[in-house]
Amino acid sequence: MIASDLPFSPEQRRQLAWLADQMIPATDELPGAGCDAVQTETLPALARHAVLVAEALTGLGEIADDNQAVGNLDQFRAEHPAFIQVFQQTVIASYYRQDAVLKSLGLPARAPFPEGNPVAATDWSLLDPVRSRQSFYRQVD
Amino acid sequence: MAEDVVDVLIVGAGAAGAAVAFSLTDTRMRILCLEQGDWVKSIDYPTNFRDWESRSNFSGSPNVRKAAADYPINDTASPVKPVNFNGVGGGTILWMAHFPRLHPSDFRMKTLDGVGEDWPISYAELEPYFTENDRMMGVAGLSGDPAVPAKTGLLPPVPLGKLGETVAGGFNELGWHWWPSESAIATIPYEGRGECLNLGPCASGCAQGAKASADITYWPEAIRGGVELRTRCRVREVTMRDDGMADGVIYYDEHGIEHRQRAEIVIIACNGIGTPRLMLNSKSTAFPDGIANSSGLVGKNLMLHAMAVTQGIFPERLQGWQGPIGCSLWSKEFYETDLSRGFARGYTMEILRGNGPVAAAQMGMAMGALPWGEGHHEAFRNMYDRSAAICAVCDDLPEETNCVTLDPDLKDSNGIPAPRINYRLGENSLAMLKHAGDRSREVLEAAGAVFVAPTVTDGVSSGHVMGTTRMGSDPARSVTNPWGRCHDVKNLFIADSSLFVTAGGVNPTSTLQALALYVADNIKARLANLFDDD
Repeated sequence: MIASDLPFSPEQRRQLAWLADQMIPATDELPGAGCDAVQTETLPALARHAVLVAEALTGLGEIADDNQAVGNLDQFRAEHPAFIQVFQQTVIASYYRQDAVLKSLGLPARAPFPEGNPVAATDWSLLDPVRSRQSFYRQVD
Repeated sequence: MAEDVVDVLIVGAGAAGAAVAFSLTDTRMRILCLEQGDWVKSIDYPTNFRDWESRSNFSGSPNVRKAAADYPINDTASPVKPVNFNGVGGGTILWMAHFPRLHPSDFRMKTLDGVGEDWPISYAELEPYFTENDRMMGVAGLSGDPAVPAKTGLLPPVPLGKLGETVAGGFNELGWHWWPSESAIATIPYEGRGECLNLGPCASGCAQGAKASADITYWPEAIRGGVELRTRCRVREVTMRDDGMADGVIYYDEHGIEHRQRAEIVIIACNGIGTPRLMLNSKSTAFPDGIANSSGLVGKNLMLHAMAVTQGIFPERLQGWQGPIGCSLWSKEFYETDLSRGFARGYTMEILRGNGPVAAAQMGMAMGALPWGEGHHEAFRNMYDRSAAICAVCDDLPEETNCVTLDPDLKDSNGIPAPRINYRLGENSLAMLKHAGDRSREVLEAAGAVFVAPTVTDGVSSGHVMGTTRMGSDPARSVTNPWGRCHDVKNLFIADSSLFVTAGGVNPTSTLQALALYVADNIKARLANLFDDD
């Protein structure tokens, strides 16, 4: 996607990236949710809620200029619950399928099919206490 | 040109419609099945894709999915939200594949416990159909369970994995029953189906085809036997002849064009919501309140199963994302009635495996357990893949006030009135839910959980829709006779979970398919006098 195809204005995109990083910040090993890979995926999804997003971001401008304004961020989240719900769901859906994130969790960075997953055979001696019980369903016929 | 008349017209190609179609191929009759949805291609299932957790086109809720084949359901007046799938295979496309049978006592509830009603048939009468159905679907499990009647022919059980073994240890600590779930999953290659690869999210479709959905079990056999299956055909109503018999149906094809299809026998298999919806929409001079509804019971006695979901967090990772999400182990310790518990009947505790990271993070945010900011990563590491959940499937006594009616405003894309669900949890269910939640907590703590979340009972989804055209011998207290023929219309049959008289405390698919085979067998055995009085 080239920059001119991205929904929202440059300022709105900057605000959304900042907000995503406030939600899931970068660490030494992991990207923040404001990274380009996540933003490229989330912006089109958020564009389906363009009015809601635009209204909410109106109140975010000054906060985004001040990374220390945690109190104001909490207030912003409290004042825009519908936007925050959509935003969280959208960002999480993208962030938690990024290769680096999956690898950090010990998960394979691929679709489940066709490789599948190994599950060790069960030692059914675990069932011995249950096997020793008498039949206990009600026999009625 | 003479109008086309088929011998048998089946409405609905789900778990029940597939079974009844397959069974009737013995007769060499001309059989047509109309299905409002399409065939599903395995390459379209979410597990083929990296973003498998975010694909809503295989959501269980028709109100979320909103596919062309779906009809909306007004469920605002129900704490339990019904889920389904409209397509060849029906609900088995998205089910978790639990395959328990109702217990013998479930068929004699009134006699044994003084609640609900007795079925007009017994477990013993259904047993041969259970066995045939197991063979068709392919069922993994372990024989010797002391909680249920003996059965044979099982495929190797689904392995428990670390999560299942951990929770099993909790049951053993308490001295309570548990057993590997009986699951309609091919754990070894079976009848052309590949073995389970432990993909995980069975409830969004099985790309491997190891899970037994009716499109890959019954339907290939039924079509080979000569059944015609027409997809994207939505039936609006069953029509009547002047002599009081069903004439056929009126349906819309995928282009919205109206068609009439005549038939000698009509069989409805649209599940516990779709079946009464169609019948209530089938109004005539003879039946102004819906076809075969002289009892006024069409749509009544809806049972959805009350469910109590309790989640525990463990100190170690449980590898819960590996393996069929629903099928691991279950407990029947509290299944049979013990009135000292404060309620009649009982429940099955079914252990669920863990979610993928997206679902886990969404849930963590919703519960307030996953913060924004600095603590986010540590909190997620401490919760992800460390949870196990117990879902208690609680028996649901039939009550006439729990019902399916037609919504006065809501309609599907063809303008057909949509169903509205009115459902409340009765006192018996509420007491059972409380008991189930408390016992689930005990199990999780005995298994080593360091935190157990409050039990959730409100807003839980259920694909278990039963009882809305129940069977019985008394026409005033039932919609069909003991073998699925409507009391009022002698060439109109019902062959799905709508026939259930009671719900039991187990997933219904095994029993509803056995019932479909039983109804079909009765039709075959009575062909010479099928329309005679009882």
